[in-house]
Amino acid sequence: MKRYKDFASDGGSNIVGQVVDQQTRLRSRLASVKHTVAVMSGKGGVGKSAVTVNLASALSLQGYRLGILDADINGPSIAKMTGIQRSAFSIQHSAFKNGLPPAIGFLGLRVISMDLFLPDEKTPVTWDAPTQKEAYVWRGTMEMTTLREFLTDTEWGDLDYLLIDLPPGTDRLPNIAGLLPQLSGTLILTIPSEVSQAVVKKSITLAKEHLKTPVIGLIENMKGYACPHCGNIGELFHSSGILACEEMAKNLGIPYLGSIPFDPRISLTTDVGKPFMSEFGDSPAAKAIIEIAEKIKTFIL
Amino acid sequence: MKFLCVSCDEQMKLKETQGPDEGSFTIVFRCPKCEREFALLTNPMETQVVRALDIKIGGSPNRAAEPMEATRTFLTPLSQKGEPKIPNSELQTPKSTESASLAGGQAGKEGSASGPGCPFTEIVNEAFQKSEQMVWVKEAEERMGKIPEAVRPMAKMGIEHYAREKGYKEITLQVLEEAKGKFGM
Ligand SMILES: Nc1ncnc2c1ncn2[C@@H]1O[C@H](COP(=O)(O)OP(=O)(O)O)[C@@H](O)[C@H]1O
Ligand SMILES: [Mg+2]
Ligand SMILES: [Zn+2]
Repeated sequence: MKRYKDFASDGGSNIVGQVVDQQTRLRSRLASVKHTVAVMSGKGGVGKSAVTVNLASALSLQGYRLGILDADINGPSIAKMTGIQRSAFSIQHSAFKNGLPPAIGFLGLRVISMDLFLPDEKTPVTWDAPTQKEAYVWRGTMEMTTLREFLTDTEWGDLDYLLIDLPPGTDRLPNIAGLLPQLSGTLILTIPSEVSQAVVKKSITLAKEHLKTPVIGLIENMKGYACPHCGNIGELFHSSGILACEEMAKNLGIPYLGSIPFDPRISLTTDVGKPFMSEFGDSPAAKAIIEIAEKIKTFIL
Repeated sequence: MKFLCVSCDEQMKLKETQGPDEGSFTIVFRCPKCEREFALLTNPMETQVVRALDIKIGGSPNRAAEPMEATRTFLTPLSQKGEPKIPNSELQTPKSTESASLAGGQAGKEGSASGPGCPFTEIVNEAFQKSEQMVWVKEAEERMGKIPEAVRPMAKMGIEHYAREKGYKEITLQVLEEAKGKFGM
């Protein structure tokens, strides 16, 4: 009796062909995107989205064309942080055969986010399935499919940088690396108090050794407190060794890109969709972000 | 997945697909030799897994996929949660378009393609050739690196099979190109 491998083709579904076709469409879509950069962190709440938006703002203010893909499917925040009104964005896509035009945030940032597909902020992402219990099972598969669609079906146009805000943790990095062999690199964000530096190490090992994607470097967020009155930077966390993150980067053999101080004006602006970088461009935090943006540009070139 | 007609030792060909009907598909296969037919019935879970990968059973649809189709299709209908932003009609359409695309796929398309000569000769040849490992030249191996890892073994197997059929001893870029044309890759 013949066995599986005795037949050259599958049952007629041409699965290889379909997957290759998906890859081809992805590649041709991203032909107009010069650099793709993924931003990751070990855990949530360290400021990954806020830093992504402000790095994008810094580059956009320099005249670069920026896109942000919000890959945090279950905790999307980029649309809100870039000042996009849900109601102003239409997903009445039948008109868009060539792809969905991204939503446009402040400073011309082009954004695609799960946010835009949900009716309101309170609605969690749930996938249609026979039962919600089963939906949970293929959540991962669906998230991967959505990531691919976000990359492929968004009419990005010409971009200098496409920043990808990954969900916390390392789960989605292999997907992104698989979809984007041309990924320019990853940024890893951490905060000084993060006890679980093991997670950061894990991320770096995964990116560098297993996925062979270049690590651009480590960014230390909320390091110290910048007084809005005098600009002095005081200590925020009672961290024993101020050099800890810098040292960790050195030990892991990746560049330390710098630190961003805690500045309440970041959340006062970014969280409500106002451009921190143009409103407080002279603040120490904004300057730190610009400096990091410069290092990213240098790394990529 | 492939199906074999055990009595004829022939690969069954996809005839048609019906559904989804409450989440399940009916996929009919037919033996090109004895014309026996049988249907594979999927449960909703199995259907979902395939659909979630955005792979169309029965080949790529005739119509081009709409932007963000899978994402929109699988997001739990907004109507269940409040004010719908996408018209309900659009959310519900996957049912009909899906079945249309499945049925309108490439069913039967390859039925004519494979007409092996003397089955005995083929088996003997294959038996001999199988013992020899197919050699991949470096460039061809590298080219395969562009194919997503998940389907690479499947693609390789298909190409090796093609090469054996043609009597090639090694896979060169040239062979790869030929095989590609055949698989529509
Ligand atoms: N350097 C900073 N100074 C002050 N607030 C910050 C800073 N970085 C981030 N934030 C704020 O911290 C909160 C969490 O940031 P967010 O970007 O949503 O985290 P993540 O995406 O990592 O979950 C937000 O309110 C954000 O505005
Ligand atoms: Mg976030
Ligand atoms: Zn038969």
